[in-house]
Amino acid sequence: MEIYGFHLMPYMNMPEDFNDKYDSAWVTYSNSNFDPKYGHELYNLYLDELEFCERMGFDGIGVNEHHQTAYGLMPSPNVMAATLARRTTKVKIAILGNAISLRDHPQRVAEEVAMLDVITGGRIISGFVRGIGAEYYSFRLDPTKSKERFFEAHDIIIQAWTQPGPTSYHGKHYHFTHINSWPVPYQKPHPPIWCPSQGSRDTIHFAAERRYPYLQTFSSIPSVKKSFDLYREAAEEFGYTAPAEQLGWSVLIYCAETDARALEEAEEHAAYFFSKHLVMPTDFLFPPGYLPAETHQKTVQSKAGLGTPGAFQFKDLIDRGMLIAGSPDSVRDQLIELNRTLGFGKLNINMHFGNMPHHRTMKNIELLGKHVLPALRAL
Amino acid sequence: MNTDVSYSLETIDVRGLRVRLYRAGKGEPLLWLHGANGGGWNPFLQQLSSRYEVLAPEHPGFGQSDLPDWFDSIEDMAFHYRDFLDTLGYERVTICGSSLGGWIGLQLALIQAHRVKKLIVSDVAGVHIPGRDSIDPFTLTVPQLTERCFYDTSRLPKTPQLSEMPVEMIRNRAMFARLTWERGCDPKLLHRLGGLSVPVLIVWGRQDELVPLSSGEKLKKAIPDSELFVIDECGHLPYVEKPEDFLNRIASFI
Repeated sequence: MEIYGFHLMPYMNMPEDFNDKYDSAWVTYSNSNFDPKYGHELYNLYLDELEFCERMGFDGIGVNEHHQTAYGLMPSPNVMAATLARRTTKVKIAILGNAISLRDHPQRVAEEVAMLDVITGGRIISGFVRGIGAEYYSFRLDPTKSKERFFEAHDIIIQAWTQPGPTSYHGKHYHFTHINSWPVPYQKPHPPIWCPSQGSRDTIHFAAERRYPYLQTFSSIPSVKKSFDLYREAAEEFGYTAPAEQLGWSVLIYCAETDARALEEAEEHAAYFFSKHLVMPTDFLFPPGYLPAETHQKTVQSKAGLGTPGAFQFKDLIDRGMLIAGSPDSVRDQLIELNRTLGFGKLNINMHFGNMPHHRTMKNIELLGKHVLPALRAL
Repeated sequence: MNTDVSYSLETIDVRGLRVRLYRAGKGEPLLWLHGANGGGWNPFLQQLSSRYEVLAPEHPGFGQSDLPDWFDSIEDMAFHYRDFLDTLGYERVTICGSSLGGWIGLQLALIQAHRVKKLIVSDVAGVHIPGRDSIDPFTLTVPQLTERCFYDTSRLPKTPQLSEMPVEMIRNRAMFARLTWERGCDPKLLHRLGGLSVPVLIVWGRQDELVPLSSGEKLKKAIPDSELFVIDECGHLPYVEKPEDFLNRIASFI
């Protein structure tokens, strides 16, 4: 199994009375709450944490893209990947992912990821996402077109990476007469493409058809299983049996010296994560037309509570497998067991969440690296 | 006053696009263009149908009408209504539209003035007033938006939360977004209306919070042959809140 250390890089100094004053940590949460001096400190601590993953034997490290939010300070994941590119030497750098539907010029993504791939000598993994609902408020892009734009932007980037230019592209949403990326990627035919999602059928089919690894994020164990089963079924329909390497699971994991201590510390940081960073009105999660009308109601109901402060109880998060916390032995045993039932070949560990302080994150990474990763790698 | 509900409901084919059409009454044809809240039959249309032949289609993408994959603008709507009139064999009709429907009506009159006998528009969406932020309907939940539509909030209809919303309402909301999410107005509209030769009655609820009366005043100023009729103690939907005032004014205008 391949193991990745992933960071959201959240802003942690949110006001005590955030929940009284604001109904969202996204889109409308004023940037007057951002202190650049504190931000400077945070970025550097977070980058230290990701770099430490390399020393602790992780196969890769991961960053992602979100906008106008305290949830994550990476509006450009490529900037973060660039800072990591020169401070690491072995790990893969997974960009999970660029929100390509939001780009009016997807060629820019092709260019930037190619730059990173060449600089790192082929250590880049290129995730593609369409951005969560809130991003369609931030960019004021028509949510009803987000999926179509995603598929077209993907095709343009692949064309830019693989076809000798200049070529042209004429789709419904994008028209380019000169596609000609300088540089082209180091890896051939192009960097690995991953598709992170919370279980969208279209994304699962899209990924399975192209044999792209599918990465399930923020989900209970039953929904992870459902998505993996869908992927495996889709793969069979496309004429092959999906290997474990094409199935990835992204999950919050926290290790401390003992189960009791890990659970106590994780609870504090999970509460911050779910009751502050994730807070937003339901409309931000599901802008009109972002989901197909036929499945809209069911999807909204299945995500009930997401975005609402206090909707998740820590015990439920643990019971549903949305967060794994414990001593290294117990985390290792749980992951081995879950691997047996779910069959994933990539594990993307959110090793920092909520308001987790630097020393705890470093301890988490160290315990995972020394005591959990060796056993998982053998799977 | 005739309050019986006696419309016919049919699905017609407009150049390959299936459209659901409510129809009632005899007399001069009157095409009703509904707003973003969706189509259907209502007491106002019932009243109108005692004097006119009322045609009340659901716009493409709304309710049960089809949505072609290329269709995404007010202009597309206007051209669709040209085809709609061709399909039904009407050379010239009077048009009455509320909010989004008013915007579509103006656009249709701009591209096909000879097909529009008279135009009645109420609380029109899409009028661009430079430097002025209008209320963003997409930052309000459907119940909040509904509340902002009414002057007399004791008359508020019950609206479902997102998790309980029926498919047709989800479609209406998505189609409204498809038409207006990226730009909720047409900055060229007022300029183009200067050349409109159709007689236009502009009706506005004085207390409209969604699209303020100043938009109606701008329209009045922009359209040469137009009059503005303001209804007191009325919000965004005069046809719901003050149907009698609205109907009486229509009768004298037509």
